[in-house]
Amino acid sequence: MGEVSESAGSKEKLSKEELEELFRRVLMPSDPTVDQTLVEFDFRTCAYVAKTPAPGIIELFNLESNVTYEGNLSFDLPETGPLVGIEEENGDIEDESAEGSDVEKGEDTEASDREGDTDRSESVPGEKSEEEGADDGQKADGEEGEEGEQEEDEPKAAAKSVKPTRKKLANQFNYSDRGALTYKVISRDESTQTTPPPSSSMKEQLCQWVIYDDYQRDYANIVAAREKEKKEKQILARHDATNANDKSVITNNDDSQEHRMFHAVKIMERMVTQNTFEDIAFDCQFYDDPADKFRNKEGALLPLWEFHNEESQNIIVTDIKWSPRYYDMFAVSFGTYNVLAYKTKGIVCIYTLKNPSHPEYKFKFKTGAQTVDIHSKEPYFIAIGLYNGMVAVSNIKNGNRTVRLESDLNRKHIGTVWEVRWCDDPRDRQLGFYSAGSDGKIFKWLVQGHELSMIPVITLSLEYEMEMDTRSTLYANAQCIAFEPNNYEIFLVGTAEGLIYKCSISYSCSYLYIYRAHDLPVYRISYNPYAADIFASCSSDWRIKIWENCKPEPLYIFDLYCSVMDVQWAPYSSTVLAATTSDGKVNLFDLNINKNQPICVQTISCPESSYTTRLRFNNKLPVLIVGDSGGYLVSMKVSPNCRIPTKPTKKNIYIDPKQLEVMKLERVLSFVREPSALNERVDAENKTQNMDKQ
Amino acid sequence: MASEVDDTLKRIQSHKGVVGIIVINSDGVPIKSTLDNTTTVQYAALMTQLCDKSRSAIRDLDPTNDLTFLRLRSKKHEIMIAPDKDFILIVIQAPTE
Repeated sequence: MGEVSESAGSKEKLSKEELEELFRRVLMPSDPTVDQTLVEFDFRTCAYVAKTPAPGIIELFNLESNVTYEGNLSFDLPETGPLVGIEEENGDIEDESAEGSDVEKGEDTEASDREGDTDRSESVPGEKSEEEGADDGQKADGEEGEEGEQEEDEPKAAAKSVKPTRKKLANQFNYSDRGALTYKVISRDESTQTTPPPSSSMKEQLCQWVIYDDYQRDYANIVAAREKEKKEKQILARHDATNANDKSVITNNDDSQEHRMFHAVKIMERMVTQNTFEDIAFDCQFYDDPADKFRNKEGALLPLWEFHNEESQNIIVTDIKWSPRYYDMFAVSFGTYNVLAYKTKGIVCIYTLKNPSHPEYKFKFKTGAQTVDIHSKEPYFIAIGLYNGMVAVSNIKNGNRTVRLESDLNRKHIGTVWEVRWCDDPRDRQLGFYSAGSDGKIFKWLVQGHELSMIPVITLSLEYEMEMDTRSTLYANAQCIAFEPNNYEIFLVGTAEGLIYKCSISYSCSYLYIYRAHDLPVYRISYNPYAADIFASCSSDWRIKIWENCKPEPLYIFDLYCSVMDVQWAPYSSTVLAATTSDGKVNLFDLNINKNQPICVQTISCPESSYTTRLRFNNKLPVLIVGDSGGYLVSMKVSPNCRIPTKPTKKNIYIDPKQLEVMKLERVLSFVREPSALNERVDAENKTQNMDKQ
Repeated sequence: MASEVDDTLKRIQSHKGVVGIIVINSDGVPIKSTLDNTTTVQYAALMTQLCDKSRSAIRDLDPTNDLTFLRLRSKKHEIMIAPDKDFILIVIQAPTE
């Protein structure tokens, strides 16, 4: 800090006091004009930082010019170097030094920018004065050296040091050891735009199942690819097979869509029928006639669906069979009972309760279909017996493209086939069935690939004729056949002569027993489902008879005053049996309730126009189906009184319901059985008689 | 097979209370109909959507499951729909009461 007193001597008007007045000036090392509050944005830390002001440098001189050498070349040139070359070099050096000063000037201006405009303005007069001085090159050089510009300084220093050894240096500019500012490595960002990879925008709703499906498809593709590889290997071995394979695949695909359509249409038909017959379906399932409570041990039948078909109109229902597998499905055969009706057409229809309006399957025959049976284990095999003595087998497994096998003319019954029955002989490898024909023969048929093979089982001969001493043997006219429920070997054959033969498949010429059952043709024999030694037979001699195994006399006889067309034990009770008569009535007996009279008699068809022919109980539902001679079928629900469940006599003891049924039957039969001592004797007599006859 | 389908369709049409049958292909275009044009188109458009939605609902619950049949009971009709991947069969039935 220094004090400077200043008196304004030049101005006379000032008073003494004024002159004596002291003015103080303070000099400070810092420049007050420099702004102390400058900040700078730091990009590294992304913040403003206080900028330290530049130290108070005041630029006194700033030369902005090119330096040229104009003075006389007073120094001695080396003797060897040519002058021209030096001049050339000189020009070069000038350029370079100019460049250097340019750079310096740039730096300076930058610095002056930082210091502020005031510095600049201060430097301007200095610059001017220097420019004047710069006209003589040597001086300028010296001053430049003072400025601290090294580049210019060095040659000067070199020139000074060179002077004593003159030989070395020819030219103060011809000096190879000089600094040069190298080019700055300028980093550049260069980017090129390439063509973008092909892309497409996709938009879809995604659900769990879509993913699942895709995985499945992917898996299927993998499997297909693997199979294709395998196939290709095979193709190498066999070339011809491929074409056939391809074709079959195509047809299968075609088929499947059509098949699905057919399936959908079929379901739709059932739905429509279900809506139409909704009330009947409910009746079948839930309706129990409340009137039964007030009727004294009498039952009734509630008609449900009716089945009829234009094509089967006025053809007699000759047989009905429920499917053992599907409880709502049954097969019906339409044929004739007329002896001379060779040209009647025959139809076998397979109906289901779900669609009463139309049969599921239909097979037409040129002659009457007299009987039908469905295989119990493979329910798509259907055996059919025909009026002309032939038998046929249909397989309905593959939709409507049924396979039908028919026996040929050489191997057939001579006369109508009245009943066919599938057998479940465990010894057979193929499917087999028995047929009973009016020629008195029982044949066994085996389904072998695409043909039927025939095995004769037994021929039923009439024994009276032998007694009458005629040469020719007459054969019985077999009308029906029934196999014992638990024994595939033993069967009964009812004949038109009224006899019932008990036979075994093991003996082809002898019978186990002969019942002299009826006076007129036996139409049906039905084994009791609970007791295998009890069976019922019906005949056109108006009677139903219930037999015990190998007993000559029946246990029960019911006279219905009309030809009895069919009889069957109910599957749900051991004592209930139903019979249909030719006056269009259905009679229902329950031996447990009434041993003399039917508990229910109901007229099904009008006696003038038609008569009922066959009836059959459903295996599961309390439903009975009755066919008549007009081609109509009626299903009926059995009222609760006709299916009273059996209760155990002593309470708190659990007995198997099946056992219970057997006990009930035994109790009923015990009233009518002859004492055992008597029975045995008769039996023995009969046996000896039989032996004699044979 | 085709003739049997036709026969069955005829039988369905002859049933009491059946108002109409429409068969729609997978694109939602009616290929067979017993109803008039506008109704058919309307049914085709709406039922295709309904089927898709129903199937989606069923499949979402269990991807291994699938829609097989659809019954709509309305005050006036019962609409029965058999959806398939290639077609949709629609039967409209007025229940007889």
